Amino acid sequence: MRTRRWLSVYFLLAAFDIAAVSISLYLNHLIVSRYAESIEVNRDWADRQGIYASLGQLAATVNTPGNDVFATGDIDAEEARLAARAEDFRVRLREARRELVLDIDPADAGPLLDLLDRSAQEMEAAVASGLSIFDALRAGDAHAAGQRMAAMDRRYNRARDYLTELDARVRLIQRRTLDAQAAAAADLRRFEFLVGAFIVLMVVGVTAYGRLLVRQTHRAARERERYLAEIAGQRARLEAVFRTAAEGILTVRPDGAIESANPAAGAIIGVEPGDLAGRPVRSLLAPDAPIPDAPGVAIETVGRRGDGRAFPLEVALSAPAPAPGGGVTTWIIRDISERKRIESELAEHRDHLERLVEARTAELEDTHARLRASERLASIGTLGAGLGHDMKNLLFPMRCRLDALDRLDLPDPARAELAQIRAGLDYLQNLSRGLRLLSLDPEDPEASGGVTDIARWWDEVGALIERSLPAGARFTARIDRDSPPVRVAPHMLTQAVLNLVVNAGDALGAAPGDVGLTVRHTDRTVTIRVEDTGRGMTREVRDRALEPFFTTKQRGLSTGMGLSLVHAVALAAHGSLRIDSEPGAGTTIDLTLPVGVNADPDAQADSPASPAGAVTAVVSVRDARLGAFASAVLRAAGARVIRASALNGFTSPAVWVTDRPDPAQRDRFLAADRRNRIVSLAADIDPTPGLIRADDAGRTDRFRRILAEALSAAAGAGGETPT
Amino acid sequence: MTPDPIRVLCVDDHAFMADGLRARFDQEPGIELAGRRSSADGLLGAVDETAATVVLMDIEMPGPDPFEAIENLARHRPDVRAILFSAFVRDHYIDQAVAAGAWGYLSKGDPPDDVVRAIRAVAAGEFAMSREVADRAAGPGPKAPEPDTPRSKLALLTPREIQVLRLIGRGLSRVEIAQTLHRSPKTIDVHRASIMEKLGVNDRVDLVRFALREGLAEL
Repeated sequence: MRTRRWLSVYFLLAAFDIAAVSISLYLNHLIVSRYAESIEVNRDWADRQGIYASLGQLAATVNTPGNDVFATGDIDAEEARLAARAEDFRVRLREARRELVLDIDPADAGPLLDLLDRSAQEMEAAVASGLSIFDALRAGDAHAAGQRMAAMDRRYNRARDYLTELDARVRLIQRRTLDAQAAAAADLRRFEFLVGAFIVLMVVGVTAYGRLLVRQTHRAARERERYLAEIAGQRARLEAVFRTAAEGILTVRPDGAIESANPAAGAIIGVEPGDLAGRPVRSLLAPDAPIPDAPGVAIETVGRRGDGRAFPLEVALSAPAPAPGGGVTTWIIRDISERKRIESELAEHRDHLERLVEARTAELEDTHARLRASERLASIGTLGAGLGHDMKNLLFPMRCRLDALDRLDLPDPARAELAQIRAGLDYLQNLSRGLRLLSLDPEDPEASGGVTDIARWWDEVGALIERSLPAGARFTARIDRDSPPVRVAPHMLTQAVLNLVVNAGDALGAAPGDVGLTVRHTDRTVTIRVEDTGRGMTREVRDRALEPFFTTKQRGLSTGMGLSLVHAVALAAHGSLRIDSEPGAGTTIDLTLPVGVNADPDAQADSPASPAGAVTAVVSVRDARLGAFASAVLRAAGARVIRASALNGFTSPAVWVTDRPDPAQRDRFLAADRRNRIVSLAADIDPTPGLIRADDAGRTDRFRRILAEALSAAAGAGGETPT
Repeated sequence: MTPDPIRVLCVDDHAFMADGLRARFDQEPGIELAGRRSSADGLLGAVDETAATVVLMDIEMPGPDPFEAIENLARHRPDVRAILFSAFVRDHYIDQAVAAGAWGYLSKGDPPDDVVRAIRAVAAGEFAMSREVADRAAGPGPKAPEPDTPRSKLALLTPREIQVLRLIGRGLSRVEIAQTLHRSPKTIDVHRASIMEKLGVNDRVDLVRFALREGLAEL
């Protein structure tokens, strides 16, 4: 578009230039022709002037004979002369007249003709007078001749005046004509300046245009150079890409032959890139290997290396670059053998993971179910504990009132009723304790404390448990009397086993059946098995059996707490509960408990070395309360406690609890028996073997433990003497 | 000369408790119910008003901390002896009771006869523990005691922390706890964080549950 504009400008300039030149030429022509014309006109008038001048002369010659006759006296000759000259004059005048009429503008010619005519008239009169002169002379009238001569001269002067005026008029006309011509020339000259200016413009325009063109040309040349440089740069970059790309890049001619290949392509195929040129591109693929049917789409196919081995190859094509005879196609190839390998590995991993996830999910669901159950249990336990607590607050006052009633003098029926009420309260008391068990946390010391010797325990509770069964039930108990103790408190064990046996009895219903209780043990566990030949549980019931409040019994007969309670006891003791049951085939429940390390304290009483019971404890502490506390603790542990202000009498083994151990007494006490121990509440005491410092008596738990240690040491159990 | 009767002040928020005790004491020579209060608030004043010689104090009650009240009582009226009387028996209660200056710790599960006996023993200058308490107070058995493992996680807590835990168990907000203990809420936060760390508990719900289980609070 710029070019077109430039072209238009060019044409405009050209047109302008031509116009300017044409106008100039035309103007020139006009000026020259005017000039020529004016010369012509001026010459004409000059000629006319000449003619009129000659007319004047002729007029003079006409006048002369009339004058000359007086001198010459040759009348005839003069008359002939006069006539001849008058004729000349007439002829000349006629010529002039005709010329005027023919060649001059009537406006101008009019007055001139008039003057000529008047002049002619006067000359005719003069001629007439002249002729009359001759007549007079002939007549011999000289006087008359003289008068006629004067008249002739007068007429001649008038004619001459008219001719002079004619001349003047002609001059005027000449002047006027000259002026007009000069004006016309001046006009034209004005145009000439204009044209001159145009021509200057034209020159300037052409020059400017020329320079612009030159600049354009230079700019175009620079642009072209820049484009070329850019192209070169791009080309260099493309070449760099071509050379360094990790993918193989091939350019393929329309006939399928490889035009060029980059080093990566060579590496993929396993030949020098130069060797690829000229080969059919199909030779790089396995026979019948597919290639993409659309540009820009990468497909997986099978390539063929230089040594003929097949390998997985990814191919993408470009659209052919347009060129005459078909364009060059670019092929991008990638060796995907590694990728394929990884894909198959991933698939294997994925399968493996899926299997793992399935397994874990199943585990997780199981865990969740158990968690939900245990959470429910925890909530129930919390509620239960609270309930149990509340119950104790009510039961105590009720028992107080019962005691009060008991002391009254009541008739027997009333006493019997009271006994029933008391039994009910005892049951509730147990229930509250049982509810408390539900909330037990295995960390809870109450859960983990306590040991039960099975044989002795069964001796105590066996009858009670058996009595809980309905009449039609046959009960068999097989108790292994060598069973090690279990790490569960006796009352909890009773509660648990009682629940199991009662359930077993209920399972029999009204029908007769068998209930068996067996105790077996291993090195680390004791298993109590309760089995019945009752109706058994369906799978659904079995799954929910441990849920608190779940019961298959009629409402009112069971709170549904039994098995959940047993389970709680098992969990608290770090044991387990297992239920085997099939509908119609009875139920077997195994309660497995860990073996207890500590022996039943009651059992100690039977063993020969009855330690604690043989120990004397002397408490001489000024703080009466602290002393009372220490006494109570020691007494509860089985020692024989003496409260005294000083260590007076004692029998070894002994424990002396004091806040001011007199050194002499101290030595005497410790020397009396190696087992004797002093628990000193004094702060500033030297360490002595056999003396235990308890100066931080504010830490009651530590104090209790120290008392227990001292007692234990005095009892002869444990060799080390703590300091 | 008959010795002065033992006058028992019952501090328990359960209405029946005092009535039951009265019914029982009526059967006992030398023991009478001096009065009842439903919280440890104003214990000293109550003791003065009722001329009590023994205080039977419940632990789970709304109002001021019973242990603090006992401490206060022991300081100002050492002649009046306080016995803790709770539905729950815990090792840490024993320790707290002794530390606070109590003369006994009884369980509401004990038969009323035992309670009466215990009151008499305390009046006579002995320390009273219910059977359950005695079993635990005696410490680990003669054989192989577990060294230094606390028997209850509560033993890990300081008395102040146990106080805070009790109030948490009752459902008080931290501001309310702060007001009750005359501390700033920030201090309560510190205590709570320490408690949770020591007990290995991650959220308030578990804290409350723990408190309820341990009998630090009732529902």
